[in-house]
Amino acid sequence: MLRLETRARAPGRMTGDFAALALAGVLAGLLTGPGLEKLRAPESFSSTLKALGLPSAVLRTASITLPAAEVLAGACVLLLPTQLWPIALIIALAFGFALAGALGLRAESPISCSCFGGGSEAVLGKRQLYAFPLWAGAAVSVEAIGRSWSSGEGAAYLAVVLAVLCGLRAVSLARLWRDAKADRLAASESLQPRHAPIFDVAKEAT
Amino acid sequence: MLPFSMSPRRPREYRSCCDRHNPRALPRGCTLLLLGAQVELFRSLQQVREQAGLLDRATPVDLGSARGLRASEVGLPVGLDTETSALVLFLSDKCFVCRSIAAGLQGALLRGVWLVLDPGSAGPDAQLAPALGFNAEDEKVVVDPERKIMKAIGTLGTPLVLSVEHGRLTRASGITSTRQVYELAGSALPQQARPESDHVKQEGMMA
Repeated sequence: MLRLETRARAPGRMTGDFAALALAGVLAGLLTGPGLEKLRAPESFSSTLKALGLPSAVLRTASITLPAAEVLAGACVLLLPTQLWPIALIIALAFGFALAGALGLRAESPISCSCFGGGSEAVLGKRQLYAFPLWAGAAVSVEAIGRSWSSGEGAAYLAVVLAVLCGLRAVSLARLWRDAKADRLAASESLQPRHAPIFDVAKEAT
Repeated sequence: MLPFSMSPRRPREYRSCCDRHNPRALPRGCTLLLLGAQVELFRSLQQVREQAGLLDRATPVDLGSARGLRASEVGLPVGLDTETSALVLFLSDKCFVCRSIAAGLQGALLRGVWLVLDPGSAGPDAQLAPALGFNAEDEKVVVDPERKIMKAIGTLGTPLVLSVEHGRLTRASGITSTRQVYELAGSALPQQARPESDHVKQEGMMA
């Protein structure tokens, strides 16, 4: 349970705490969600790695290890506020994303991004390169400002981040469900058509 | 007052990653995975429907030079020139989907919806089938025996929905179901117009 405290803090420090928490939350969300999705359905990510030229021998291991590293980095930036390695891991992953983007630009044919799991039509390219300074800047800023929460509080914040991700996923699910229902109703109409003519005549066209 | 504690390093007893007072992260992670699996399931079904041609989507139709013309200029009723927003539904007696849509409307024209009917090979003297319930005397029901209006618009495909805004033609869409007429008109599909099988039947209707 979160505990209220009325300890006075300098306003500037409070702003910094919120900024660090917000940045860390965004980093956690951008890493744990997609990482979990890649772990749930590794085929799309595996095909991306294969298109990037990764040897077959390490393909299977990499398609599990890399998303696991994403989840680990995203979770631990909140769960382990006194440790530096989650920040370093985030920067390393961001470098990897940028490298993948560079390789995607050089590839003969577009390589599917699969950054957020399968189902996306995005391709690897400049986006990953432009995002690297943002990733690195956010990670460094979080560490520079300082993570002043405890591991227990970090677990609560991680739960909030995951709840937000669940909410976003639920919105996508609701839209897909609505489309599926509309298609089903329309399919019923076409499979059980009512062919009564619009005009009442003795002879109908065939 | 902050809604939660922002104190620096807490005592050792609060340093555990899986604090027993905050076990919410793991079940929410599992929920995220389950939701992801469901999204993938629906996307797979969408691909199957797409392959089977069962996607209920309106197809945009290019109006070409007819875009921007006043409704009366293409032979539509003069009353449409003063409409702020209206839909014109084109149905042909030669088209089975059109017949199905005509039957699905159950003789009731939605607000802002006008009807242009092509008798097809039934002939220019053909009468509207009474069973459908449309009133041939209604200003909003137009019989276009030689498809003059459709030729003026530049498209002969049916069923077609033409949007008229401030009296002028704006866009057109090919449709495939009664549901799309209601959706484009911004109305809810009435219960009577729904097919009997509103739930998944054992015959294998799609979800």
